[in-house]
Amino acid sequence: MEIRFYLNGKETVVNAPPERLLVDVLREDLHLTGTKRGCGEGECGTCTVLLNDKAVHSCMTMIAQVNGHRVITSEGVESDPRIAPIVPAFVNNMAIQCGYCTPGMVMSAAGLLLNNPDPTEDEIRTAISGNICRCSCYEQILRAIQQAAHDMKEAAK
Amino acid sequence: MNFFQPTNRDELASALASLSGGSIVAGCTDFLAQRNGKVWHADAILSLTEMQELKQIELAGDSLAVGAVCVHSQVAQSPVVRQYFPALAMACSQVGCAQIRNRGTLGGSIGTSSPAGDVYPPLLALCGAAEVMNSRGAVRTIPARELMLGKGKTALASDEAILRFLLPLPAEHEISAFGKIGERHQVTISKINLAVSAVVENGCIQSARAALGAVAPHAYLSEDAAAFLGGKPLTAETGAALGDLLSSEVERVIAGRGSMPYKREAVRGLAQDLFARLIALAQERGL
Repeated sequence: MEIRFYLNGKETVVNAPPERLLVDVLREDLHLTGTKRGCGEGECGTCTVLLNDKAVHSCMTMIAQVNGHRVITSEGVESDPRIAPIVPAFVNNMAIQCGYCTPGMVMSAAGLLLNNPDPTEDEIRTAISGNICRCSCYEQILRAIQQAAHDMKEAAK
Repeated sequence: MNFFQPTNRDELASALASLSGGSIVAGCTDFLAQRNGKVWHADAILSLTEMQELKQIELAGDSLAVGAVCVHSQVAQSPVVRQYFPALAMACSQVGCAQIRNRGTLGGSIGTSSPAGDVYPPLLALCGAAEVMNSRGAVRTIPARELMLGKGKTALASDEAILRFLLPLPAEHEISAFGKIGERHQVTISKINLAVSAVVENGCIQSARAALGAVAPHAYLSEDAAAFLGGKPLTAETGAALGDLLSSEVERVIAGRGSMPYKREAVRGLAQDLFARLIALAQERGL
């Protein structure tokens, strides 16, 4: 089946069985390995991408279901001015150790801040409650997202 | 494999007619999680995710019609659901995590019909109904209490899909709340959940409905709880007494189960938490 969708801002065409998982198309067919496959059942969050600006699990999305829609992966964050500030915020707040959870965390943060530019601490915690960090960087990640929210509001002025 | 993605009712009916044993899916948060790590094959899949008309929340006569393909986050954030059906908004806001709430749908939750599902108890407590269409385009309405036939089985025929959920607009002094307890504070399957809807006047419960879930094969309305709550003051003491009543009920309903000793205690805390929410809501609304 031919699937046409916007991937990181560019129109992209893939040919795949309709039920093939988005995470597998991204990683194996399109060689975008930022998105990870940590559990395959929506528990770990490492496969998180934006689908129409909402954070979703790419391990539980069939490729046919993104036909005509917009997907953003971790590779597309720095070139999207709306959410680019999230990356330096993570770096500057030491919110990365092994880096495995980072793409998913960044995408969850992007999904939060695009829909709620001024989140409370509780709202940030809820937004990343589906993302596991085994290095336990949670406090730094929380600060990074607070920083990103601040920087994105400044940029919007 | 036949993959159907209807965009309107005609296409949906046609797809249902061709489905013959295939699966109806939407957000796939249950469908794909269940198949994780397994080699699976389907002759046909019908995805409802392109049915825009089934993603609407709108008035339909004296009911609110919530499209079956509405995702949990949409329902949780809907101002009209939060105002008139707080139990449903609360339940949807606590399903899974943000990523699951952005894909999982109300119809999917009912269709999966897990005993621990969080959508069915509010649907029961709020006297909701499911509007359902078959492969010939015929539409019928199934009241919530007739929707579940047992663990994992709904009253839908194999060629039927849920279009919308109809929630009768509440009486003027009617409020509702939902609570759940799981192994974790967030992102957790319910070990026990509860939805209560009550008509409250001058701090007194005129009438109420209580739906208890994750105990029996499917959530159910507790007749004893409803009978007890009628006429009682909306106070923490009543909440504690409700907890006692539900504790005995849990003990009876799952007498032989290993989880019974835990659940008959957990339900007490759940009833108290839920009552705290109801009391706060009543105060906010001056009831």
